[in-house]
Amino acid sequence: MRYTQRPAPPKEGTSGPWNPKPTRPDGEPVDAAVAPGDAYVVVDEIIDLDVRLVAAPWPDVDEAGRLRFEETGTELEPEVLLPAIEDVINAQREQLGQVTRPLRVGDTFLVRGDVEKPPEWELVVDVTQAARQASKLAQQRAIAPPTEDRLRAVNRAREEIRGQRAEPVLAGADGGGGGPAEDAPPEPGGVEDRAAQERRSTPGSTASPVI
Amino acid sequence: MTAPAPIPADRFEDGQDFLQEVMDKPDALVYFLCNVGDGDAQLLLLPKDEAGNPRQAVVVDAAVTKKLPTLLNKLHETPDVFSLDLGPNGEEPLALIVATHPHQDHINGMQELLQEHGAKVAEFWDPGFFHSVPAYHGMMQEIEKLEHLLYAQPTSGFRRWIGDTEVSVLSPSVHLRNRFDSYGTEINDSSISLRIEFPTHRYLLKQGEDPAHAHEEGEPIDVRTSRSLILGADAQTLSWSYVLTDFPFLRKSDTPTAKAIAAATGDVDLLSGDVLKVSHHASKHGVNLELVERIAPTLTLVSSVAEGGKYNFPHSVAQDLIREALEPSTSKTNFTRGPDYELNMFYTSDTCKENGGEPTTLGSIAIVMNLKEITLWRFCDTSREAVDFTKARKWGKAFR
Repeated sequence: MRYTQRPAPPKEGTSGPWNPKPTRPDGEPVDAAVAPGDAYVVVDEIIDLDVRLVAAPWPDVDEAGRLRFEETGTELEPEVLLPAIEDVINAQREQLGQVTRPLRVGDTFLVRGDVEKPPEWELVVDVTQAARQASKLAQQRAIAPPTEDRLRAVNRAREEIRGQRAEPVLAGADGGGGGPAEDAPPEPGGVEDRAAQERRSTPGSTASPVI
Repeated sequence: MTAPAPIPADRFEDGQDFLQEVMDKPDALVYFLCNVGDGDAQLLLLPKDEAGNPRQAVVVDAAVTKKLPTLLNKLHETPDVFSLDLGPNGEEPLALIVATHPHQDHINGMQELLQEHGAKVAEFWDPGFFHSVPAYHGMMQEIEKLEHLLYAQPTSGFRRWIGDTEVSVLSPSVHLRNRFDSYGTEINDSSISLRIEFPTHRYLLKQGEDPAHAHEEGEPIDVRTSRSLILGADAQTLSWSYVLTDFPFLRKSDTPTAKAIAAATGDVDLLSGDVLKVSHHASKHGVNLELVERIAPTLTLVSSVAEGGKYNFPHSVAQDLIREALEPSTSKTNFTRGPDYELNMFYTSDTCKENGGEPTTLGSIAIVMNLKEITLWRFCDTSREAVDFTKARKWGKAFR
């Protein structure tokens, strides 16, 4: 051991099935709910017209929003090619009011029905956005300590500094400068922005089964 | 795709002891390319140091469960070859694990490997490309638990020295890494491809010199004599284009500048490799002619199923360009190319044509390489079977 990158191991345990809360373009929630037996299906690879899907039982979520899977997933080799899979998925997207578009690697779905036979899928809900956020969260939690407490302290300190810099400064006293305006927006991509985004996008851990 | 031609049984020298050869060559690097079908699972046992300390290991990808943990446990049964025990000062025997990119066929066994041997791992690399497959979540879950583990997301040009072995990252370029979060980089192009070179002595002790003062008084070695492997992961054409830019071919000349550059770099092509693990299972998008010409490998290895795989790896066009790079045909007339094994091009899906019998699986490949020679071994395992050293078959000739 050379130095510490991460905090103590996280608590084990989950708080129920993952509830990704997908929405339609108009902001309304998609009318569908997770049911026992549903599968989590990811587009893992596309080469020409061949698609590799990876499927696993629908995951649980822990208190920090990390997805917890019973298994690492099974590679599926659907007999149908890309256009047929895309048709099935886009028909379901349309029915649920989700955006239709070409399939791409990383797309993630809740699937109900025989997972190995896309044409026979009974329900397909596109949860790609939430799944990507959950993957990002898994990475960020694994590589660096959580920042909530420190972030609050950083933000308080930043506000204090901004307040001081916003005091009137005599022209020429420091080259005519001055700090950023008191109401300056957060720096794009800065810690404040990212934390806010994460809080908004952290996959839900509520008990509601409605996605 | 073209299924590799069965290899005649008389090309092998049977009755050889793989583990004994590894023990007899403490200065050799041992590289395993496991038979896992269309996927990658690789293990390197680094050379012992001159003090005779145990070998350290590097794992590059774990496509499936069981295969690598079983291989490590079997090696551990012969501690003179490799031991999973921590060193006297707590040194982890698994110096580095690399998850080249988060495709299922490269990381599906990673959670299990970390669960079983995580306490024995010093460092972990992945490219930083997050992917929503369950195996990625499982891998990150285990990394999060391992407080001692150093985690990094290296990009091209990064180097790590483990004992006398240099691990250089060829890709992904930071150009590609900076686009990961926006669908701007295809997942295969996020792959960490590596160049492994050994030994990397840069200073030679003078006769009778105290090793403690070698750094000040040793003589620099301008021209390196070393071996190297290129492990291509699943990097594709875009990624290799950055590699070719980042690791330029420096044409030698007599100008002072060229001489200075040659002296500084060890006077070698920065992409040369004695062994090439072809990227992306010999996908048509995986390699290009100029790249293989630059690497100019003595041995070319492909990890893929023979036929009937989902994507028909290896792709014929990739096989042809590798053959052309290894044996140029354009200046020859009435040219007929021989089977791939004559070009020292081997596949984990190779079969052996036994006398009068059905072809048998040759499976996982091991390379034992020191400065004197390179030997090649096969373990006759299917993609679902464990490597069994008692089934080892040695290629009949050593490579120089």
